[in-house]
Amino acid sequence: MTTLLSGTGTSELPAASDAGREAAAAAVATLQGTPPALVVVFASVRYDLGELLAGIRSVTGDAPLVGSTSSGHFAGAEYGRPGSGVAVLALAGGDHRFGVGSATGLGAAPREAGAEVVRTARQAAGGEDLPYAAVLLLADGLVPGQQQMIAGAHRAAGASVPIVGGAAGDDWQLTRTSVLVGDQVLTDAVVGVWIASPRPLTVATAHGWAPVGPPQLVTRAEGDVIHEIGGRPAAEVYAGAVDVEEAARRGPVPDVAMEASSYALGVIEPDGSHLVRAIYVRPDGEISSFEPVATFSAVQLMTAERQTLLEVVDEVAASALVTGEERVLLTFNCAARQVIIGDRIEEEVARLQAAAGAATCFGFYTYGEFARSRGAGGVHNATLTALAL
Amino acid sequence: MTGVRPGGWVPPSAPAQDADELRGQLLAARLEVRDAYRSTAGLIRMLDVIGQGGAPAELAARALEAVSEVFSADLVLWVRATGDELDVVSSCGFGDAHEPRLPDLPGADGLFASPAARVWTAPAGQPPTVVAGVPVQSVVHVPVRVGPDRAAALVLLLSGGSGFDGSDLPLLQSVAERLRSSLEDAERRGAVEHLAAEGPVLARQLDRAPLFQETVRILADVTGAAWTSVVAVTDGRAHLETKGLRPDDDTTRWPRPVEELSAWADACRGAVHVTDDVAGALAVDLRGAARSLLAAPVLVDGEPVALLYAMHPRPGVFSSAAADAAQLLAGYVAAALVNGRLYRALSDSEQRLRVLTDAISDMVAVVTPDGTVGWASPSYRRGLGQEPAALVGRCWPDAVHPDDEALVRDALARCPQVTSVEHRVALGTGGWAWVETTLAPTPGDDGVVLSSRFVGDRRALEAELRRQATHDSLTGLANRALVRQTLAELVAPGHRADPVGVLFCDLDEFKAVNDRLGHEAGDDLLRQVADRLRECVRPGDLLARLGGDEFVVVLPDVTGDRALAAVGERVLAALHRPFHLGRETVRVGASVGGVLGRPGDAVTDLLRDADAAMYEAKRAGRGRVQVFDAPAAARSVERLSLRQEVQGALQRGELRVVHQPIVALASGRVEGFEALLRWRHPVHGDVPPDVFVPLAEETGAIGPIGDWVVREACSRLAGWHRLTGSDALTVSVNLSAVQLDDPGCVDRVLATLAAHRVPPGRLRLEVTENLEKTAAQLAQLHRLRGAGVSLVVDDFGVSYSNLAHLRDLPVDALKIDRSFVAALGDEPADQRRGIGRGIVRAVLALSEAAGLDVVAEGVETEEQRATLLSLGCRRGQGWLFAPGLVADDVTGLLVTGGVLGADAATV
Repeated sequence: MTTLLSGTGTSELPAASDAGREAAAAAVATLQGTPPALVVVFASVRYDLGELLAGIRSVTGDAPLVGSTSSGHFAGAEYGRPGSGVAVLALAGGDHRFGVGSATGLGAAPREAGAEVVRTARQAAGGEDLPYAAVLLLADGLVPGQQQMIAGAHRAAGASVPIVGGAAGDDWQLTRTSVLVGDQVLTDAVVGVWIASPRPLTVATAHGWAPVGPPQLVTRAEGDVIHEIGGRPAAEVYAGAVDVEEAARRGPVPDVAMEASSYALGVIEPDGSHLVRAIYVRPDGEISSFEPVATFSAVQLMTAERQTLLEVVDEVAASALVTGEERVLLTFNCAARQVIIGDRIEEEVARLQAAAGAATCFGFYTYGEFARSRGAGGVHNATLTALAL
Repeated sequence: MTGVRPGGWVPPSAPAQDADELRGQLLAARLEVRDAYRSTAGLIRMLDVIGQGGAPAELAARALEAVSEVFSADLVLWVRATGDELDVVSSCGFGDAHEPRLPDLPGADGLFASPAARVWTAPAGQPPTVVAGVPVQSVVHVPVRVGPDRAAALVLLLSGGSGFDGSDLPLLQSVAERLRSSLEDAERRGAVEHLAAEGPVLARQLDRAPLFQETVRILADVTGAAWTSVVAVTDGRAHLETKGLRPDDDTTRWPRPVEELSAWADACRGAVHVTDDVAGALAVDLRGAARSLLAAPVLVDGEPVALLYAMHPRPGVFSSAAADAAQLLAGYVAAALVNGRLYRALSDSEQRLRVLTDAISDMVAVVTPDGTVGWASPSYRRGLGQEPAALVGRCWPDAVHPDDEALVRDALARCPQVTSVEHRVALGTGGWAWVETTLAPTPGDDGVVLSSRFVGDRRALEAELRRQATHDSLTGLANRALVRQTLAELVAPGHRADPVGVLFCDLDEFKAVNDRLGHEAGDDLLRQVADRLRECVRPGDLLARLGGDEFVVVLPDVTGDRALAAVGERVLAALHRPFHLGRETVRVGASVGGVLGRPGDAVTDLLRDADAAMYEAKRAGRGRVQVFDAPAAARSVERLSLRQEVQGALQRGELRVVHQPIVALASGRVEGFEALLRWRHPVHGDVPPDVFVPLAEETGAIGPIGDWVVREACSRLAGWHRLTGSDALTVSVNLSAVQLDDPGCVDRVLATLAAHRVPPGRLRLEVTENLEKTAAQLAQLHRLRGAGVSLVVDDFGVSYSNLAHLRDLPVDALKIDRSFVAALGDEPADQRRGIGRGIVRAVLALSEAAGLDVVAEGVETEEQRATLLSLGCRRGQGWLFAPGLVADDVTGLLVTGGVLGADAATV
């Protein structure tokens, strides 16, 4: 067993190719000359992404590369706020094997796209000699059907392969997100990495949200709009339950379109836990969610305290780091958490890196986190998910 | 606030403790509610996914994904069991890299063979069995029965920490049952949709080779077969028309005698042949790689002319849906074959006509409007043997056959509106010839040009084609098509009073003769049988051969069962005499079944019943006559007469309304009534509502009856409201979809309410869940609701598959169907009771969420009442409290206050 080598680099240089080159050079610097086996990139949408990739690949060559646009990202204890720059992770050596794949047409056929990205990535990884695997997926964050995409990926990968990842962000502009593979910039697409491993791989998840109020049934929902809860207009139920002033106090980024982001819906899961669904009030007064909540789901209104949200980073790091030998903690953090945590966000990143110990944290703020371990579900909101290598 | 008050009184410290206790209780209650909602949401989620339908494979995949999600199962399988073999149909969680399979579990012998749902947990201290990378800690096996020797099962494999303790088993059983029926429906629907699109295209295919190529392609699609082929039957031999039955078929075996085909016997009966596993049925060299076999006969004139084969390497693959689809397809193929034959015959006949008209040119005459011949062409000499000059001055219609003369004169009078007429005309040599005469006005004056040509050959050909299409070529008897046509005319509604008799006759030893003496002798026997049967029937009777050795006699006027049986006995006697086939003498014997048909009967039913009677005769010992069960026939006649009589029942005062109390389950206090319609027939006594209400709906009588019930109910209610403390009473009346289709219905209901001064909210109209919900019906319901009338969904849960349905109805209450309530109190069936509880709990949760009131129907035992109360249901009706009561008894009940003893009020 050789040790996995990892390096990270960031840049906020204004020109895309310069920024790419600078971040990539810093990332490979610590690889002791070993060619990278995998390159992961998270970048602001302010860059010309084609040029950015050219800059990175001028350093990393043809090494397999995946990435996505973000709404902020982090490398080690360093926080890159939304719109600021690019972060690059390079991995080399070690006893894992990586294969990169992609699929387009996500919106039209999400299940098929989910299955295809897994199959192409698995084929690229080659060989069947390693007993365990996990899949890292990055998807266009503004395309519906993320849950079906994960279901499709699960169909191809099987129950023994956990899935982790996130939906791309765009610095909160909510207009266009992209995913990256090799030298390509794709929209309406999903990219992924098949990670084969000699050891079991564990996906960790925690959100820190707590239910307020009684459980209720969603009695009418269409797409991402929740019309009725418990037979009453959802907006009325919501307005009656939230403390608007408190919400405003907790949501400290005024230019963001989420007026009450410290409230969410928790879909009650078979084991009694809650799957968090971030919600917001649309201009027409309807309640909308980022991921659809099915009619007749049992839900509870959830709320989050800033301190509890900060504390869950310890929980996620502890459950992801199993052997103590891990070198990288790939982390997918919800953009909504960033809003609620507000000015203490750098504290969150530092706390996460401290909890990760010898492993380097690397991740981004997403429009939806992926974590599938049991059953076929696996799209989360307002949650923190992680995989350690 | 525990400080000392001015008065020196110190409150005890209890309030703080109380608050903690209350907080604890609140938390516990919330957790309980959450659990209830969680399992309810799980059930609803499953039903929702299953109810969405779709192609069978995708439906199964989605349903298993939902099971995986709802029950936190790592791996889920849907397996099919045929005999001892288990076959995975669909799976979730295995991914591409692992073959879906059931695990070998040490110490779990018989788990998958068990007919009951079971949970198996891995023994402690042993390494778990790893399946598809998942260490399996527990396995849940939920079997459902599919057919006599087929079953299916839902299997969940769970890794550690699942906490699955078996309490969800009834829920899983309900899910598995619904999944099974949805998959069957999906399969059937898919096949029918596919055939509806492809079938008509197939029927236009007139050449055999491309027809059969298309057929095998569609057959594979609709049955899911791995291999499909067509075998055509000519002269008792089966010929491969496409490729072999399977890739490893030995094609040198073809053609072969039809009797060697395992499907032949079924094919002769027109039935689809399905073998779940040919491993036990065929020799190794015959079955090859195939396990499942399906063969559908293509019947032309009742005889199998081809077989459509579908095969599959897995056993038990072909469901009844696949067999139905193959039979439908075979029908299209038969239509295409017949079309092809007729088309060829037609083009032949057209060619022949052309030859005729070329050889004999038309005979032309010019006549005055009254028919006097002014000129005739020379071709009259060649054609009719008459001198043209001799015809001049004679009346042309005089040469026309007396039966056709009026037709011809009419045509002459109506020329040019009538342009042609077919008739017989006298030949100079004696006798008559068929001609077609076209009529055209002469230009310039009012004469008519008649141009006649011979059409005898064409008419003969048409008659022959007609005969061929309706007769059996071997015996010259009518075929199935003509039997159906004749019967359809005879039982057409209003046709005649006398019943029509149908006798089905099947030879008892025909197959043995055919096998022993060969096909030609068999054909000879059938011809002789036909001759004997001709001896037994009267001139107006129709004698037919349906195929194989099945004969039918249709007797247009039969006085009754005895007369029919007498003809049957004659048939038996005629066939009992020995037959001479070449130098052999054989005895065959027969079994005869009969049925009497009356106007309005369905032809298919008559043939089916006669066939059933024939089998009954065979079963009872051969050489018998059996006439179809008369009481059954009487019942259908009775229904007809009831249908007639229900229309006058209201005028004759035979209808009445009784009132069943709807009570508070806890106290027994009467909160309202359901008005129930009763019909006491002067002869039949009480006719159950489920018999006469549909008849009233069919005849439209439900309109005035429904209005009358509303009037009765409102007038009674107005009276009861005047009793002290009874002004909150409601009355429920059933509203039929037919009433809702009447645009004036709502106005009449509202007028009745006003006339009796009953507040609209006190009237509850009950509609059934399976209402069609047309725009007009919904508009009527919204008007009622808008006027304050309360609307209730009756029998809720009976067609539970689509919950979205409820959302569109403007209702404010539900009635839980009595079948679910009955399942609550079923002593021995603990599991069914679990399902009943689950569904009642789900319905209550749903209703509460949607703000709907709930009434339980059919409460019959104390145990049911207690269970309903514990589940949170507050209202019910049923025999436990009271049956339907006449108005006077209701008044008494209201005066005494309730329907339960005083002790019950403390519950």
